[in-house]
Amino acid sequence: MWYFTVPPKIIFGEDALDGLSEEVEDAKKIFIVTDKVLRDLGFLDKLTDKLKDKEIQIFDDVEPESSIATVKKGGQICLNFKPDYVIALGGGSVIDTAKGVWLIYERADLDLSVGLDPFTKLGLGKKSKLIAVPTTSGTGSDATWAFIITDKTEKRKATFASRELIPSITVLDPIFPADMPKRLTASTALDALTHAVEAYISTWANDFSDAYAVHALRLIFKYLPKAVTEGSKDMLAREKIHNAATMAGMSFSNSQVGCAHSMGHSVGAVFKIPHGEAVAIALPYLLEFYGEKAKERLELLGKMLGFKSAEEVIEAIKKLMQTIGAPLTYAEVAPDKEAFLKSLPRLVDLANGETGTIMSPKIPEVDEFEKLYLYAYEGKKIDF
Amino acid sequence: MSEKYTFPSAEWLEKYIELLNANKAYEDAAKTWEGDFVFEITPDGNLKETQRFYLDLWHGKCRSGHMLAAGEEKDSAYVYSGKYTNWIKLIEGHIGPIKGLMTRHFNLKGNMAAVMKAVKAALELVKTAAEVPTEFI
Repeated sequence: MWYFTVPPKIIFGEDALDGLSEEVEDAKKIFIVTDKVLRDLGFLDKLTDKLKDKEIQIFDDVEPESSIATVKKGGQICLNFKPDYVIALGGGSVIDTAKGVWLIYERADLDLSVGLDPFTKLGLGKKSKLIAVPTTSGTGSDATWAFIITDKTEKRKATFASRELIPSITVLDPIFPADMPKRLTASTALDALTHAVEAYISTWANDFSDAYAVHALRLIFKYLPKAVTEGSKDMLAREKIHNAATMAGMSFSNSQVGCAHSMGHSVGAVFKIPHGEAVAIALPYLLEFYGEKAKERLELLGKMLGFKSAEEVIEAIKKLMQTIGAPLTYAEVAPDKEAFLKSLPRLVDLANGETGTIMSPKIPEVDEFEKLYLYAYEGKKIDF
Repeated sequence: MSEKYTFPSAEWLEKYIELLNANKAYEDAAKTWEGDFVFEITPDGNLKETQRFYLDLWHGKCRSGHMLAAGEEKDSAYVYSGKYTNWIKLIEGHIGPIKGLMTRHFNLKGNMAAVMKAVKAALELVKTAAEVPTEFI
């Protein structure tokens, strides 16, 4: 027995935000989770303009790599406000924080410090519904049933998962990512690319997750270079990448990510590297490392994407990263090699303990993880 | 031809504990693990009665373990249970220990969130089981 859990409703395309206002027509009170950057960019106004007759409470304290303390703070304010809907407006950190805030609002009795049992029936949604409005095109968090927040004391990411955490509605309006800077467009979309590839070769991959992964990758390979170079001048490319990110989220949420996320999470937490870059840098090295264990799946994926072999798929990923100006080695984003080497035992330890590690087609041993980090740092072809 | 151990049996368990305590990958992955398990194999296929065994897992080692007699009470932090044919699939590598839980081939009583933080250790527990020369009932 297996499940495929995705948001029950997706409103997408130009003017999707208008659909949101129709969805919350009967609501009186709405709690919005966002951050100060999005407020300054005027994104919050775009949303609140559609909610004019509602009583609104805004929580904009979400920081990049949101923390447990922030989630608890937002949760407490939400508990006092008692909304009918919680709306997350932002990127992955905001949406993940909103899931945590919503969880606290719905189940204030839970102790988040002990984690979350994915099998426990939580009974979420009795007080309110969760709506996600992603403003970047990458995390897919609007379509997943987990949230990741940073434990700043231990410098590690903590994952909370329950199928009940899936947003009731995700709203994909390309107006939000339209003006993203080039590097942000590239790094967030590389997160989506890594989600889709890892979902497809995961040992938990299934017929349903495969479908979303393949189409997400078709869209990313076709439209990402245009989305990066043209920005808001090519709204079709923007829309397609926005959709692709959510589709990749629908895929990996139901088949899991792999070692690129294990390695990327640990590097990202220790060196403050943008998440999309941290995971995407690791991906080609891991695909080479998996070798025969992933070859059949990569070949099949390649056929559907128009590549002749597994090797061509790996090369195409590297070429795409180069085309959009993304880094291909950890040295480019963490230039202090001494610090990197010093952190290596901790990086390996964190990656080894990540859930995604055991879903990979070939599970690295401790010494192999060490080598993978070093090869990905120096840009060496995998030979072990 | 090497000796084969019937699963489940005291002999199989003794060999398993010996191999687990020699498994460096398990020791590394479970170095902070604190929690004992009762493993329960419910009747299915050729197994006619429930069998249970106990493992005291602590900081990358198995401090002790033994088969439990029918009706014997044993408190433990975790109980991992499934039917016999699913145990065969687990030991033969057709189901992973965590995927087994997610697909409801196995059930877990205890702190699932803590287990989800120790997935590599769980995998090494199963990999070690696969190394025991095993014959099934």
